[in-house]
Amino acid sequence: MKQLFLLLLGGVLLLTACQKNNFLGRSESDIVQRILQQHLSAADMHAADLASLQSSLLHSGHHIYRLTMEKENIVLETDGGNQFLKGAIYTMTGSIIKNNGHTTYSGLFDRSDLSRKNAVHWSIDKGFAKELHSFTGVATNGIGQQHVNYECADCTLPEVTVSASYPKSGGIDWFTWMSLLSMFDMGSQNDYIAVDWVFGGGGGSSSSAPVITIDQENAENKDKIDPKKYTDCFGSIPDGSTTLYTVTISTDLPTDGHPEIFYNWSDGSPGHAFIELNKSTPYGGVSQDFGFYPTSSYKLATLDNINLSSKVVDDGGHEYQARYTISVSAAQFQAAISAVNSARDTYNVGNYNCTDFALDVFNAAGGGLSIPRHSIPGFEVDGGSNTPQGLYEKIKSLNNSGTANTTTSNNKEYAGSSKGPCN
Amino acid sequence: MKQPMYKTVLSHPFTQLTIFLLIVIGGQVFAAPYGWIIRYAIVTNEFFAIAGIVAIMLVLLSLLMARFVLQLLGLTAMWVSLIAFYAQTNPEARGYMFGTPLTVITLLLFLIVSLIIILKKNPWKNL
Repeated sequence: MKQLFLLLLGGVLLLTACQKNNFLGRSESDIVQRILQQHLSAADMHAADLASLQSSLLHSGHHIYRLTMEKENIVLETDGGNQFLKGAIYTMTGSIIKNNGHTTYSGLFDRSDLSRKNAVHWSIDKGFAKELHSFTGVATNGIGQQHVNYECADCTLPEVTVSASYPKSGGIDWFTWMSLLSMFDMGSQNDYIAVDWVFGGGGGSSSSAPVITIDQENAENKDKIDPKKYTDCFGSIPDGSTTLYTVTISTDLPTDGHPEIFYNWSDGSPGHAFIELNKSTPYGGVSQDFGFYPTSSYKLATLDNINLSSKVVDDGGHEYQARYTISVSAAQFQAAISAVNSARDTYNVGNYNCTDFALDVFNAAGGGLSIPRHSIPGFEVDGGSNTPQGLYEKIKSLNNSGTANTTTSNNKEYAGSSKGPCN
Repeated sequence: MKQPMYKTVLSHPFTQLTIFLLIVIGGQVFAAPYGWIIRYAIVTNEFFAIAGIVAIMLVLLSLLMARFVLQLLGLTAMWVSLIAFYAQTNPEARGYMFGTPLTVITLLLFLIVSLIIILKKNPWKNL
C-alpha cells in the first residue's frame, strides 16, 4: 500500500513538473498565435505567416512582435508577462530618398487595428504625415483672427524615420568586396542587419540575440550652406508677444554613453557639437540646425593645428546625447543669428572647432556657458580645447543640479529637421 | 646579383616602418596617419593597435638583429593590424576612412613595399 502511495505521489509530481515545464516552455509563436486568434478575422488569421515572426525585447520589458500577412504587416506589443497590450495591421508603400545627407521616406502608410477598425491612411512626404501637418483656415491668436495657410505647422519630428535601407542599385561595392576578401566581414552597406530582433516562429522557441547598437551616423560630408539663406527664414515668423525664441546647443559623443572616449575608431569620429535656433508662435515656427566643419574634402589636419577652411552645414536630424535649451529675447536671438552668419572662415581642431562655434552662437544669445576644456591628443593647445565631451560633461552637471531644459542620454537622440533655405 | 637601388630602398625596414606609420586614414573631421591611430588606440587595448605595436617592435628588432625573418614577421603583423582595423570600422564609414585618394595612395605604396619585401632576393646582403 505504501509503495502504491509513493508511486502515485511520484506520478503526480512528475505530471505537475511536466505541466509546469510545458507552461514555461511555451514558445513565443504560440503566444502570438493565441493573440492573433483572439483578435484577427478568420481570413486574416489564415493569411498571417507565423514563420515570418520576429520579436524584440524593449527596455521596458515589453515584447514587440512583427510578422507578415501577405502584403501587409502585423505588429503586436505585449507586457513582460506576454499579456496582449495592443496591435496593428499596417502597410507602407513608397520610396526612400537621400538628399543632402538626410534619408527620408515618402509614400503611403495605412494602418488599422487588428479587427480592421480605426483605419488611417496617411500620405507621407519626407517622413511627415501630410494629413497631420497642413492647415488652412482661420486661426485666432493674441491679436485677433488671421487667415493662415501653414504647409507644415509643426515639423519638429517626422512620423516616419528611416533607420536603415537597401540601396536601389544593389550589387557589391569595392568596400564590400574588400570586406569579403578580408574574411573579417562584419556586414556591408548592402546588408540588412537586424537590430534587437530575434527570430521565432515555426513552432520552436525563439532564442535571444544580443542587442547590437549599430551606429548609423552618416559621413560628415555635408554640403556647405549659406547660413544667411537659412536665418532669413526666421523673418517669415512675425515678432510679437506670443513669439518664442530658443537656442539649443547639442553634443554628440564619439561613442554613445562614454564621454571619456575621445575618438571612435570605428567611424573616425571625434564627436560633434551643433546649434539649433528656433522661433515659433502658436501658429507655426521655424527651426534651423547649424554645424561647423572643415571644408576640405579630405580634411587633412594631421598632428598639427593647421587652419583649414571651414563651412557651416545644415545639421538637421543630427544625433546627440546631450542638449541644453534656453529661451531668449528677440535681441539675443538676433545676436545668435549674427554669430551664425559671421562664422569664422577657418577651422582648427585644437583652437576653433565645432564646439567653439556652437558655444560662440549659444553665448552670443546670452547662454553664458563655459565648459571643461580637454587636451585633444595630437592637437594639444595651451589650456586645452573645447570638445563635445566637455560640453557633454557640462550639460550633465547642469542636468544633475536641476537646471531646466537640459537633457542627457546614453542612447541616440536626434535633432529635428531644419526648414532649409528661404531665398 | 645586386638588386636595383630602388628595391633596396623600398624594401628597407626603415622604409617599411615609415610608410606603415604614414598610411593616412580619413575621419569625419580630420584625417590622421595610422601611427597616430595606433598611438592613441593602444590606450584602450584595441587589437589592431596591439598588432601594430608588435609589428613595429618586430621590424625594429629586424633592424637591430639583421634578421630577414623578423622583418617578414613584422610585415605580417602590420597587415594583420591593418586588416583588423579595417574589419572593426563601421561599414557606413569606410567610404571616407579608406576611399579618399591619400589613403588609397599610401595603402598602395605599402602594398608595393610589402610585395618587394616578400620577393626580395638575398635578404640583408645588400643593405
